[in-house]
Amino acid sequence: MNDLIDRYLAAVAALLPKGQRQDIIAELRDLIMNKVEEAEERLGRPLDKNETETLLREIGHPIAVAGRYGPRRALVGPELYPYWEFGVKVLLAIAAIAAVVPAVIMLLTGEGDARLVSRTVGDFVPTAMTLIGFATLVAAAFERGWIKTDGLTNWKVADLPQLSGGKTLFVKSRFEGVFELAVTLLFIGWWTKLVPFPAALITDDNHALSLVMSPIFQTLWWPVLALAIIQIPASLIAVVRPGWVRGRSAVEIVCSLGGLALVAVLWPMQPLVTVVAPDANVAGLANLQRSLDLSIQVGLVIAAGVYFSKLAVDVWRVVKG
Amino acid sequence: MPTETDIFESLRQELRRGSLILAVLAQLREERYGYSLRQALSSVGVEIDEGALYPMLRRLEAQGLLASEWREEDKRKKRFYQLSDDGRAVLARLADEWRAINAALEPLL
Repeated sequence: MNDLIDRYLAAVAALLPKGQRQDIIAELRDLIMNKVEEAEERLGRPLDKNETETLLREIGHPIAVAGRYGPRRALVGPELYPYWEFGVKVLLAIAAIAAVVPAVIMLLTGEGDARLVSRTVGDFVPTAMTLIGFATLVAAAFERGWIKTDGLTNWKVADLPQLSGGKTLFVKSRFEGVFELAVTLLFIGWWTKLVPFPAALITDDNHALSLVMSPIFQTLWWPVLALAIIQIPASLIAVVRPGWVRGRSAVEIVCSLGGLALVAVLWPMQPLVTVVAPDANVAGLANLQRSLDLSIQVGLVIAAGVYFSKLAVDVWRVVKG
Repeated sequence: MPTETDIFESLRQELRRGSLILAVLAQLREERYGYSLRQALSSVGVEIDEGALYPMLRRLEAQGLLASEWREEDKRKKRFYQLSDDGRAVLARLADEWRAINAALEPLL
């Protein structure tokens, strides 16, 4: 009988903090012995092995028993959970886009094959799991006070997004702000080569097809990086103080001006991306290049239009408040 | 989908959680060790799982509401707990709070 009790206590002891181990185990042993004595008194005989086993099982699994003595703290507590859930939704949306966009490009360029779906799912699942794990680690750091939560507790109603009254043009929700921030950070990571470019996904295994960027992008390396960095405070304001319209619009004006300048510099430098496929059919390759050039032209025109409209709206917001 | 019994059980646990601490503090006006405390609570109709009781005693002691010492009794070393001065003051305030809640709720129930 004592052998079972000793084994049980040793299993609990192994999971307890060293400083408290001896003390807790002594008290737990006393509890067990009291329960044994009470049971033996009731039965009028010593407990057999099975009865001792049952008694110890009633006290609980060693992991559960040791766990009760630890600090009562969830990995993501109920107060933090809605923020964690919000962040995970944003990250999952990004993971889905990161997996689907290359697949769509492959489909459009006729490079898709039967494995495309399984490859897309295969890209999405590990990225999603990694991002959820990352969000959980950050939430756990908040939960334990390693990261201060002043931003979550010292909030003001005045900082909440303003009611649009139906005019929702370029009004960003918090979700969009977080999304934009994450995408901007990913872009900066890719631009600075800290994160691999998804275009690696649209080059085939034998490198028979690849995309070559125009040298103008090397010349514009710093301006593009600067523009992306300026976008960060604009996104941050949308997340942290969405009610601060003037501040956000002022930064957005800089971003829009920078974007327009970029479009103006890039337009005469076309083609901006060249498809290289030495073994491909010449006519097919020319077709693909034309489609790509046209897509980029349309993209630049749309970008210029969006930047102009945003510029007008943001200037109006800065003036009107 | 939780059943009505599950929902009741979870609400009951929630309701009991705070009152158990009050019962434990009240019973420790006089010195007791863990097992005898559980028996004393049981004898007045307050059942508490020892898995919850012992860690609770340690938390209350860490908060300075209980004082403890190891002593030998019945040929075994036992840890005896008793309310500290801070514990007495907190118990008095919690008891007032409990009576106020009770007085406010009783007419509603």
